[in-house]
Amino acid sequence: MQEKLTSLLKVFILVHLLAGCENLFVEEPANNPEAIFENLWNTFNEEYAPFEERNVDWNAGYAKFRPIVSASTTNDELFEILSQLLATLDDGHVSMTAPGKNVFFSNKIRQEKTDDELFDPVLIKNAYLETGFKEDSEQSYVYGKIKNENIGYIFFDHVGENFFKLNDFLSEFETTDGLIFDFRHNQGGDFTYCFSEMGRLTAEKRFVFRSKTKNGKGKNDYTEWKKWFIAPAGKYIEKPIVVLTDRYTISAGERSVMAFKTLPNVTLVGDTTNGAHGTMIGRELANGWFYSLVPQKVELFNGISYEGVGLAPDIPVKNNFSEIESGTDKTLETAIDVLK
Amino acid sequence: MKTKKFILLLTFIFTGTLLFAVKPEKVRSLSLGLGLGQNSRQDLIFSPFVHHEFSLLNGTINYSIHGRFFQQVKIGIATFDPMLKEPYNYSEDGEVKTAAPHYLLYLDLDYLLGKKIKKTGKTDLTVGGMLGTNTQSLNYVYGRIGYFGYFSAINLGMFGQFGIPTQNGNGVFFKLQLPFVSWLARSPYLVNDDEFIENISSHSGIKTFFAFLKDGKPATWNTVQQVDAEVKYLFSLTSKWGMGISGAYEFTRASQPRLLNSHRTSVNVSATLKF
Repeated sequence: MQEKLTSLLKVFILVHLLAGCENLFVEEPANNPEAIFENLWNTFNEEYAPFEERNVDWNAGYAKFRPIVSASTTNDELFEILSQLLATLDDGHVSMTAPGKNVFFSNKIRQEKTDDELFDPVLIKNAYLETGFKEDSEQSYVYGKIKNENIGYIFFDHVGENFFKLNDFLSEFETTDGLIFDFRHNQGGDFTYCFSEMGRLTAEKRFVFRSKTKNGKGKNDYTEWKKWFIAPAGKYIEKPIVVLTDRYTISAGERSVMAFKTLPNVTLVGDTTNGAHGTMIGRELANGWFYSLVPQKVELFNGISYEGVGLAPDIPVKNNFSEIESGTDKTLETAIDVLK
Repeated sequence: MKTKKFILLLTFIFTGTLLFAVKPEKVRSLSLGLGLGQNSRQDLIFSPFVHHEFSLLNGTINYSIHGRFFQQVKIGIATFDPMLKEPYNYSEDGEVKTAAPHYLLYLDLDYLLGKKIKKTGKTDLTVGGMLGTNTQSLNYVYGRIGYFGYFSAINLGMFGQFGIPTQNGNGVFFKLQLPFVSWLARSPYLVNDDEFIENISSHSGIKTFFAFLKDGKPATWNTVQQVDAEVKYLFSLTSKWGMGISGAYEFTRASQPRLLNSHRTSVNVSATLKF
């Protein structure tokens, strides 16, 4: 028995020695300010896609900020320096998270919350929707009838399973004069929920956009372009549609707007969208901080990239704070006027 | 065409071994093992860092048939929630949030079919073929955002078990499993490309799983290396019930689309019912 147990022990030791073979791993980025800067800069250099679309010279960022970082740079200083570097991208999909800090958003509008208060869903429910409107507990969607008008209204907070409500909305407001889709402050999510659920709004298959994703470290290492379409599904509804957008309509919210833009009966009203619609991924740094970046290029059906630019409305309207305070949503009222 | 041939070959071999395996006169055993696990994983698709973690959520279920042939179906499950640093608080739009660890789920399903080929004195050697899966469901969390990823290999290979048996199936056993060819499906180079998005666009977990699998590719030892080793000591409590202690090591290395190195060890205590 002792012999067997000795054999058993030997094998245990062998197994755990194998498990401890650290040299099988690729060398990890070091945990010091200079190495962290290098790691973040290099990762963007190899994995970030829309430098050209955003007209950013990443090497210039290195030249400007790298000399400021030294072995004695504190965490607060490093966070500030990296934030300034990321701010040059002005990208709504780029952010950085660190202990005890507010999340830093590269996009100036998002970071400074510019005009954030110019959209108020509570105001819409109280002042513009008839009683009996529908919403879920998280207000991921709100839909109902515009007061004193034969117009249906739906708001989506993000793009996800809340789009399964779209069919109910369309069935309930089948006989209205028009429909308003409110994508203002839409946080994004998974655009395929919108694409799969809006089949009742198109009578034919329509090309929406194409995208390609980085698949290597080289500047031109990308997958093939992939074309995305919407296609008819279910009972077709042909009505005048107004889509509302603002500077906080971002990511999958923008891709959803792209899909609506393919429809001939759609008018875009509001402000230009954020202009961040490539897919986003996360990364981590040796000190435990996190950041996000964009490894994808997107071109609308017309062959133009709106990354960093945003989708402009057909009818530009921007609320102001005094109107919102006094209970008026000028953008929504413009949409109602268009559909009357 | 190559893909279809590969699937056909796998199906043929598996069906053949199952038919071949149906033989009378057997001693069956069912065992449940629970214990500790340790994982070290570096997956460059998601992070350049090695994630280490101990876990108490580590278990196996084994169904074995000892007869003219040795057969075993084994299900293994383990979860880990590694993080480079301790979870910390940050704020977003005035709301305090906590950065959560990653979450890794390992699920293995193996079928072994073998035959005792050598018995000398106090030792024996069993060798045979194996068909198994090595599935890793990954949720990498980066503060305010998180991403799903996957590694799934359907493997065909060989195993060998060296035993120092006492009686009634007890003793000390060392087992080595070596998959040679695999159907390998992994997350894309940068986590989230159009193919990935298309695969999840069905919004159905099962359809998504099979879409991921369909996107896999045949892989051989030069692109994916996997080794499973186990040593266990079994002893009887009664004529029907036994106990065991085992140590296992699973190594997974894949080079495409980016390097993955995963080392997982576990120590389990098991209860066995023989019938």
